[in-house]
Amino acid sequence: MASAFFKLDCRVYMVKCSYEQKPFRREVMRTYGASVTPSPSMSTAIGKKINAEHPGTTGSLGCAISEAVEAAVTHEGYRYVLGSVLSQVLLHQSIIGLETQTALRQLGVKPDVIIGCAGGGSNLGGLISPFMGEVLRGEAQYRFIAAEPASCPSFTRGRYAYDFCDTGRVCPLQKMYTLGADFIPSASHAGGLRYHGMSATLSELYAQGLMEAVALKQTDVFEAAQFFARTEGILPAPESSHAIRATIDEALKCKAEGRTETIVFGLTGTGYFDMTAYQSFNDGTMSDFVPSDEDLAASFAKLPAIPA
Amino acid sequence: MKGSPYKYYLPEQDIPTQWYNVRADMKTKPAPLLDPATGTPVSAAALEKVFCAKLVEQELDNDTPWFAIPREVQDFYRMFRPSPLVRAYFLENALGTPAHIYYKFEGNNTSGSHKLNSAIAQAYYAKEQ
Ligand SMILES: Cc1ncc(COP(=O)(O)O)c(C=O)c1O
Repeated sequence: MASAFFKLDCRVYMVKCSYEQKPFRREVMRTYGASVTPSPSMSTAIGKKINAEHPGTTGSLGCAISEAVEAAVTHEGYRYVLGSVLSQVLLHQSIIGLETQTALRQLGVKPDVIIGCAGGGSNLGGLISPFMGEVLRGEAQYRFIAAEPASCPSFTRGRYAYDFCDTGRVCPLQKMYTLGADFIPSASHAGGLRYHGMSATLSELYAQGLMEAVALKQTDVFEAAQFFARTEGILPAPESSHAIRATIDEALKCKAEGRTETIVFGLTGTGYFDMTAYQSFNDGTMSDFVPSDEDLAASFAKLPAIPA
Repeated sequence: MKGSPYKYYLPEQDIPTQWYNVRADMKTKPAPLLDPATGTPVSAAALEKVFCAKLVEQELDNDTPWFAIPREVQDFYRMFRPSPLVRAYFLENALGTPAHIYYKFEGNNTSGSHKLNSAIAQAYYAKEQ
């Protein structure tokens, strides 16, 4: 949509399992003029390497990033555009938090808890930024909660260390909560949260104890998604539904303790392209994959050796 | 507040015209990006091979609290912003919770998510360059 608006050429490297799970997402992009390649592809050096090392891989955001960056730097007139993780994206997403902050002020409401789902951290960072600013300047107190998938638990089980942002190791190293750049999360249905790392800004705020995080199982998340759809009417994206689950858990805690509090959460998107995921939930065939400590240890062992 | 409307849309004139950079208010800043070859902080020149120059500036700026949103991006935002702040009365009732729940709904554009907020900015700077 953005490229079409400014009449720019747009090439998309789409994680292979998303490409297959979400054919209509792909067609929307093509309708707006983009060409879409499943990643890992055979059209970049790094894609060929990943395909050779991991035949039949479903890909990951880390692979797709490597391919897109390679394509951008090897083609004149192209630049890499990304959806999350880096500080520039958090900055743009602050529009979410700024609108929320102004609206709440106009309504005369002060939140106690602010909750968002966390993939690379852009919506959560954008939503909480202005409120975190108040906390950092000593003007207010809020609780912030990051809701992440148990299948890809960067905050709750990751290491705060320098790591590569991408599988192909072509991007700069970033200090963040990471599961290791080689960690390929299970092909869960919240594709947008399948990232091994996290925004450096949110990582630092979490390390300073200014933010909390919870890891949620996929089936619990879809149970919340279905409940939300049936009560509030909106069909939520699986990613967003992590924030819904965390909000429901918090609201039920209030109920049990007879406590009123004001919770604000980010509902990042709709789930119309995720009906394969809803289908597996509705059919009762959805499973919960949680990596073992051994899986993670193997991945941590490959973290680059950089003095902290 | 008991009297919040089900859905609240900011008046259009109150849509923000600047983005806020939370790093400016952090005493301990996020650690810098490092060049994997040298282990030293990555230079703007190196990042400019991958990203547009204006975006590199934003990426590396830990101190400026506010960045003006370009006019063209503000115009585009008006196609789908403000996004509603919804009071989840139905959900509160269904849960029987005393908590007040609000959500900021970013799904009301064709792309279906918040990603468009940054995509349009990145596309704008690419076009400009
Ligand atoms: C609907 C939706 N929500 C959330 C996310 C997670 O990204 P982030 O953590 O950057 O907000 C994605 C990413 O693809 C998404 O599509």
